[in-house]
Amino acid sequence: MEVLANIFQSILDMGAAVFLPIVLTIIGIIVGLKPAKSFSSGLTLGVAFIGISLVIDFMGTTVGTASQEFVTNLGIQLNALDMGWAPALGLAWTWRYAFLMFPVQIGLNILLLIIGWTATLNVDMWNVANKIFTAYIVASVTGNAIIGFAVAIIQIIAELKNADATKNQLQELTGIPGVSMPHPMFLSNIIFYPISRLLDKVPFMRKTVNVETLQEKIGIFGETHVMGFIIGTLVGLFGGQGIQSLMTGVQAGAALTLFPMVSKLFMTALTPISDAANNYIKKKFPGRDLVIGLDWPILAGNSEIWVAIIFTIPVALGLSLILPENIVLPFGNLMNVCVCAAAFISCKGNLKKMLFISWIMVPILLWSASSFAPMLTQLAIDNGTSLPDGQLMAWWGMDISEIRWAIVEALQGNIFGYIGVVGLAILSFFYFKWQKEEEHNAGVRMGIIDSK
Amino acid sequence: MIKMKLIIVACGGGIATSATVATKINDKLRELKLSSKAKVEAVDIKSLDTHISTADLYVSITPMAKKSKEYSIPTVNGISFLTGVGSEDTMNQIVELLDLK
Repeated sequence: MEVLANIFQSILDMGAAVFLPIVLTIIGIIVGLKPAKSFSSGLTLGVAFIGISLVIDFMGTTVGTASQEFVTNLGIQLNALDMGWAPALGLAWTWRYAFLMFPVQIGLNILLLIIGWTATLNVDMWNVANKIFTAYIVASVTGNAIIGFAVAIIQIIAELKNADATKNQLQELTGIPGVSMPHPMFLSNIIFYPISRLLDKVPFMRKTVNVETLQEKIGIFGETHVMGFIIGTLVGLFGGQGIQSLMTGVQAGAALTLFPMVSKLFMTALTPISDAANNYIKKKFPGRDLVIGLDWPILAGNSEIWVAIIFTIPVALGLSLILPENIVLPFGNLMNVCVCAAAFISCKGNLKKMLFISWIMVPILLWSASSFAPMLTQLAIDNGTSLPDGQLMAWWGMDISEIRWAIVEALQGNIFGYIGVVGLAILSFFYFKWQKEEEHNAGVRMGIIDSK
Repeated sequence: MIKMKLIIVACGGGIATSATVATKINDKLRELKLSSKAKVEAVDIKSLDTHISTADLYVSITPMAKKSKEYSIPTVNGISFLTGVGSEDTMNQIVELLDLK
């Protein structure tokens, strides 16, 4: 017995890269995958963890070091480097209780379907990590994983409710019937939507602009590796590296190109399992009209989103240098989807309104990223990443930054946190009321609801 | 030897949604014993133009209700791989367009 316990302990000590492939292989066999296929998926997950660790290492020592020279040279205090959403959510899977979120989300979703609280079946398994991330940060500040899961459960319910409340509008935008979007980023619309309504009162804001031509003009600057190269080179130049800055530029481009390559391994590993689980659920609900909950990229063809994102980058970089209390240099997540894709829905693609919202969100994203940086750095270190002394890793542009921040502050007894949470509750009431109206109108425009 | 056909799927970052669809199509190709003839890759939509030039077929998961773009290679709507409804038909369409059988 003791031998077994020792072996088990040693496996746990080796961390997520060894432990979780075993867990995933076992889950795979339980949900009915062939053992060989299950093992292959499990091992892919381990490979993804090692890959993430390697790329964060690389980013910390190359771009991280350069950005340290840059901050000393300019006399500012930015010791946390934004690594972007993919590695941040990848790291979330390494949290000790991460895999419990799978049964929690799936089980809760089924329960809500049965009692008729939702029509949405969320099949987006990547964003289980977004719930894990919430649970992890809450558990970090409260020291209690159960509170973490409790907050994550509220998030799951809110996501499904929001998906239900906007599905006609989504159908009008994409032309796909029977889908909805339970991605957490759209919960930010509780705040963005009222702002958008206010902005409608300004005639200048109401006029739309042609974004197609704008996007063509942006061209290669919107490509990830080119963006990385430009930012890296600038950081190097201001850091006093001289001609060496070109090397920093290429390294920065490499870091941003390599992240997607290793991060997509997570989905390669998780897809067979989520497929099996979804088939199982669909069999349990035969003949019922399920609305399928998908991740946000079905909106990615809309140029407005990308144009708004790119025009926010200078604001983000500029503000990061002068904003008091900020320690984060936006980098990996400069192409920050979570605000602009959510605002796209609230503003119905009106670029001026989207930019207004995206710009006023920048300081909030910076402060919350600064506040969460130590927790994220701890996860990276636990996953075996070694960072230079004093170097922190952060996630600028985290989904629902403002909501997570308010909740975490409230849980720590901060009065502004309480105000934030109460404010959110009040806004939610009006938001869901307004969505009913929007849904009805969208339904009438598409001819799926009678106009009376 | 015949050149392997390249299918691409794009999403916002080439990471989550596109990788899910790519994995599913690769699995179906394996089931159909066609995995030696074609393979699927997930790519970043921001670099789509570059990838289109080397690919043989584009599986789009970013449908637009009002405007749709024209590409130089055949394009298939891949939403069915995400919703699970009608994915067999989409798969047949892919096999036919690439003349895999």
